[in-house]
Order: sequence, then structure tokens, then C-alpha cells
Amino acid sequence: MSVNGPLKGIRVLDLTTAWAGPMATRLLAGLGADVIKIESPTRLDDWRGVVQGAHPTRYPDLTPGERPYNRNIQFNTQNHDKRSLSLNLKDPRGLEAFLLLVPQADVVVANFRPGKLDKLGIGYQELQLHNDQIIVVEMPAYGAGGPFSNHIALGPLMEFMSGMSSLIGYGDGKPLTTGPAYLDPMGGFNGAAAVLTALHYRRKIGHGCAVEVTQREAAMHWIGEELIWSQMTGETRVPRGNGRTSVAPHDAFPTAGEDDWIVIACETDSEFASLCHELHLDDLASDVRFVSAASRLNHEDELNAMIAQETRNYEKNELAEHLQLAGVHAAPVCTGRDLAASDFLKARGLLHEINHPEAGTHVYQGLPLHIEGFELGIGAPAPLFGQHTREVLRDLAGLNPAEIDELWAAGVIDDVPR
Amino acid sequence: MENVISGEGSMPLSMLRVLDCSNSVASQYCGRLFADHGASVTLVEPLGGSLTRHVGPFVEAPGGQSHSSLFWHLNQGKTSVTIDLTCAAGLEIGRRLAQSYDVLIVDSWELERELRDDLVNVRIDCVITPFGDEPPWNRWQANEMVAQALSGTMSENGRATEEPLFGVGHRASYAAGTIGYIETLSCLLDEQLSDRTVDVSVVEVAASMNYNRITQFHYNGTIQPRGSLVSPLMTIACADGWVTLFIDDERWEATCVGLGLCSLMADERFVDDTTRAENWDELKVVMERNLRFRNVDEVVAAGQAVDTMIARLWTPAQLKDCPQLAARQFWVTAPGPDGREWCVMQSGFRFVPALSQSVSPAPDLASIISGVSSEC
Repeated sequence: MSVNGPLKGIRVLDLTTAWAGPMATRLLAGLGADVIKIESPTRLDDWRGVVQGAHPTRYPDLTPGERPYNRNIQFNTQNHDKRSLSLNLKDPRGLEAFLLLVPQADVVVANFRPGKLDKLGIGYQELQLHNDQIIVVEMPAYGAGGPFSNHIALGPLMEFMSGMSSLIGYGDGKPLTTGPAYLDPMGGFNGAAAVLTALHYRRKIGHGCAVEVTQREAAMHWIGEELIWSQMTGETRVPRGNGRTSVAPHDAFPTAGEDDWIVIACETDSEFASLCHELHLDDLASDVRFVSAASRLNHEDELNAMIAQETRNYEKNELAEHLQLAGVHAAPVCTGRDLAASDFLKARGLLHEINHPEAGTHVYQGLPLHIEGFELGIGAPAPLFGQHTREVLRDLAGLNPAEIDELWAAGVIDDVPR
Repeated sequence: MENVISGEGSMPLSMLRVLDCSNSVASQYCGRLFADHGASVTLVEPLGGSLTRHVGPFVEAPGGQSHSSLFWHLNQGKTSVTIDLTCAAGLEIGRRLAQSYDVLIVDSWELERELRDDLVNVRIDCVITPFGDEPPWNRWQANEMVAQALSGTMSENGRATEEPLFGVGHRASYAAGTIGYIETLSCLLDEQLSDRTVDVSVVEVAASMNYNRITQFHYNGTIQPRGSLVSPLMTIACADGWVTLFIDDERWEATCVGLGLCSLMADERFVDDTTRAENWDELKVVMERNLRFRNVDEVVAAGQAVDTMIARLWTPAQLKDCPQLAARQFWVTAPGPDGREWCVMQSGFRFVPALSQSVSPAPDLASIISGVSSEC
């Protein structure tokens, strides 16, 4: 599409759905790759929602509109700079068209259960016969082999399986997950990293390869220190809300406003003294209960209650800025509204105003990519369903208009999902 | 696995040399990813060792010494040199050393400018900092909780009646390290591309992982209150552990069949996504009553057998015995810093043809490069 980045010239056939897979391919598109998203006319990407529309909060002005699948926020935020090819891979004619694309591609990415690509006739062993340079990256939840290999999963389930959820909670024994599906963007980052690694490997060995990025296992590396500690000691930490074992205070504190919070952490005694001074609690800095990290930890509940009594009087953004100027770790706990107004994110260029032909003009969060000499940002909105079907089949698969019309008449391709 | 290719020279990045001059989780994880895939990675540590050697969790050795599992995990496969980069002589040694490397990883813009002066051979600098180089934020203090607070994700973590939770560990930092790796590798693919800087902000990366909330606010003015039913996910205690289930229209029947609750299929309170959301608390009571005395593995097996979206909670200690991880040989060991075999995790990426490389430990603290201490 439109991003001029270091991956210009790399072409990706994207079979992914929902968040993790599309996030991976979105990163590749954001670095300049030509990503062609392949969408079945008979089974929509979960993140386009159901054909007739999903929960109103997914749509502009809470209105699904005539074609909700083109207005769904979930899809529209994760599929910038991609082309959409509608193609039914379960139809032999659709499969044939796909195989015509393979020689024109560098990478195929999928996030199905192990074995599904092979069942569809487009696993690595088959595709390398059409293009010995092809790289196939699969992103299953639990990986090929083993008793859970065919288990289906979503982000929160994988968070449970990774050890993370047992370390998140209020200390009452009930495990919690992070946001709606934190393991999904983690999986996306790991998937993109695998593709880049494989591209280097291809250059080294002179031909393509297959890579399995098991989302659960790759995610476990992101709490590797905790897992290794537990393996070596046989113990598991009990979560204590936001508390840490060596730092106090380290928590979220209420501020003025409904459900508004500020996080504060004092990693040194001098930082604590600064906090006390800024909150007009100077006596606390020399109070024997709070004079060191160890003593503050022993009296953490008391300390936190005293801090909270003061922070309630302040607006969270102003207080955070004030404390940061004094050298204290502090930040407002931001909602979507706060992020949309964030001067920091605007300065970093993460926020982009994009005009989508059916969803309208809105601000979207981009990708945190900054490479000297490249203007990396969002070039184009997420595609409409099947928007680029004709051009992809004509230009890359080499089909003539009559052949494309035949596929349309047979329902193998379409721009309206069923 | 087919056609195992052995030897370190066969690894995808074995032609790369990376100089890791960092002390942060994000940057050292970036270096770890390079090491995992065969790059030669040298960690430059300050006098007294990298900061991450002094950050827990700590594993106590039988002799009483303790070692950081964080440092161990972040620095497997690297070699170490000790150079005091805070003095002129040390910086000069650092610059001369960097001339032999393709990639320089740092976590400070000041250090990047100091080391980069006159360098001609380093192709890519990867600078990973909390906020980037823009004032006033470049002077802000950051840790994982600060990053998560500013990301938008923390505001919806936890219960509506309690404080929001940042999560666990250093996940924003690991994310940033991964982005640094991705961007650096993308530059290195083009052999004509040289003398570039990759700029990664941990806080910006954390915000980019947010679940669409910025655009949701723009689309329709709504924000997601903490504790609201964002998705039909239910956590239930079994006799010996916890399960979490995702219950939607597509899998409602399978859920009822799998959990032996067929009578619920006709219950008007739970007949579709809308009615289930309206009666969510009642549904939870029914589920809890049904699962409370059942074995967690049996519940998951029964559910997954009919494609119910269900998983059990694994604690870190329990993961040692996870049959899936055992079947995939996920856990291996390497000689640890205290003379014992320490636990190591296999790479998250598995290649075909398979790669075979012996697992390397994290380095011991090297002695100071001679001449530096007397000159500083």
C-alpha cells in the first residue's frame, strides 16, 4: 500500500484473523511490506464482527450501518495498510487461485491450530513446491505435538496457561487477566519478530523455511525471570495488587474525579522524601515507620492510606507532572479519552487522523516504529471487505477478467460476505 | 522435526555482531533475541556488573550467595566485558570496540551520542528508552507500572471496586525490546542501508498494545470502565484450581455439552449473547455450583473435547510439570552462576529445517578490560 519502509518489496499473504495474527502482519505493513489479507466470503474475520453487526460500541456513533463489517473498530484498528482479497480457500478454485499467488509472495502468515494449513493444502511442504523461497509462519496457541496441541484458545486463556494470571490479583487467590486480551498484541510482536528472523535465515540458506511461533511459549519469555525463579525455588509468588517486594510505595492511588487514579513508586529513600515534600507530608519522611524501603514495606497499608488521603485532592495529570518534576515515578492511569489527548503520544506521532471510506474520519493509534530516514506511519485505512480482489487476482495471480468473473459467479470471491 | 542443522554457524543471525551496552530490561531482551538466533552478542557491563544483576527475583545458592533470575534470563547466550563507560578512557575503549560490530544497543541517548561519534562501521544503533528523546518526558522516571498506567491498558485491569492493576513483571519492556529487534532486523535486510538509528520508547510501545480504546473514544465517545463485561469471559474455581471460559453464541451449545450442563441450553435466561450478558451473575452461580467439586484437568479435557473455549490456570511452579511443555521439550538447563544447572526456556520460534544449538548460559561478570581502571 503506502508506507515507504525497509520492508518495501516484501509481499505477505495474510491468512490471520482477530488480533494477534493481524497485529503481526500490521507491523510488517507498517515497515513497508505489501500485505494481502485473504478473507473468506463465507466466514468473516472475527474482528469484522458478524455480518449483521455486533455490540454498538464497536461502531462510529454507535451505529453498525449498512455494512457493519467495514465499520468495526476492531478490524479497522488492526488492518491498516493492507489489501483485502476475498477468496474461499475451501473451494478448489479458490485454492488454485491462492497457489497462483504463492510464487509472487515471500511470506505466508496464519494463526490457525496446528495442521490446519496442511488440511487446506497450503502447508509449507506444499507451498515450497510452488516457490522454494516461501516462508510460512504459523502462530498456534500451544504448538504442534503434545496433549493440548489442538486446544482452541484466545488471549485471556493463553494468559491463564502462561503462568501470568496466577501472578496478577489482589491477594485473595482469584487470578485475573490483563485487559481484554493482552497476549494478543504480545503474540503479534512475536509473530513479526519470527518473520524478520526467517527473512534473514532465508538470505543465509538460499531458500525458504517454516517457523512455528507458539504464542503461549513465546509469551512465557516475557515473564521469564518469574518462571525461572519458580522453577529453581519451587515457589510461586502470591500477587499483592500493585505491590512489589522491594519497593514502597508502589501502587495506584485515587485522585479527584470519578475512578481517576495516579500510580506512584518510590524506588529510593530520597525519592520518598521528595514525594512527602510534594504532598505536604514532610513528617513522614523522617517517621521511623517509613524511613527505609524495608520499614515502608512493613507498614505499607498505613503508608498507602496516608498517601491516598492526599492524592484525592489533586487532578491526576497535574499531580503526576508535579511529582515527575520532583524526580518521583508517577503517572496518571489513562483511559482511552486520556490517550486521545496525550501530548506525549502526539509528539511521538502515534496518533493519526485517517479517513476511512465507510467509517469516516477518526484518530487511530499507529505503531511505535521510528527508523531514521523513514517516515513510518499509517498510510491507508483498513481495507473494505474484498476491496482489492480484482486487482490482486489480475496483477499477481495473472487471471483475466473472464476468469475473475467466473469466480465471482461461483461465489468463490465476493465483496459482500455471507 | 526434519533435517536438523547443527552448529552455531547455521543459525539465522550467525553473521551478525551485536554490542549491547545497556542496563535495562528492554534493551537486554533485545540483545537476548539476537543471541537466541545465533548473533554474537557482547554485553558491556559497568564496574560492579549490569544493573539487572542487582534486580530480583533472586535465587539463593546453597552457599548463601544469590543470583538474579532476571539477569540470567535476559543475557543467555551473550559474552560479557566490563568497561566503565562513564569516563573518557572507557568511552574511547567502547568506541574502538563498537567499530567491530554491526549493531549497537543502548538505553540512553547521551551514551548513543558519545559512542557514535566518528563511528563508521556500526550499521544500526538501537536506542531503547522509556520516553524517547523529546523533552520534557525524556527526563521522566519510568518503570513498568508507569508505562502500563500511561498505556490505557491498566485503567481496565482489575475490579471496578478496587484500584487498577498494572499486571506483572516487565511486559512493556519485553515488548519494547521485541520492537527494537524487529526494526533493527528490518534495516539489516537491506545491505545498502547503513548508519541508521532505531528509536524505541517503552511507554509508546505499551500504548500501541492498547485494545483500540483511543479509537473507540473517537468513534463513539465511549470508554471501557474497569470490571465491565468487555467479553464473555468467566473465571471459575474448581476443586483443585481455576478455569477460565469464553462463552459466546458460537460455543454455547458446546460449553453446555462439554461441562455436562445440557439443561441450560433451553434456559431462556441464557439463550444468546444478549440474555447471557443480562443474567451473567446468575450464570456464574450455576457454573460455580457445577464445577466447584470437579477436577480442573478433567473439566478442561471435557470442554476442549467438544471445542469449548476453556483453559486452566497454571502457576509458574506447576508449569514444570505441564505435559504440553514436556512433550515439546520446552524446559532445558544450562550451567548456572552458582554451579547448579539452571532452568532455561527454549526459543519461542521453531524453524523447519530445525535449528540445533547448544543452550548457552548468561555470562559471569568479566574482569575489567585492563588499563581502564587506572585511567579513569
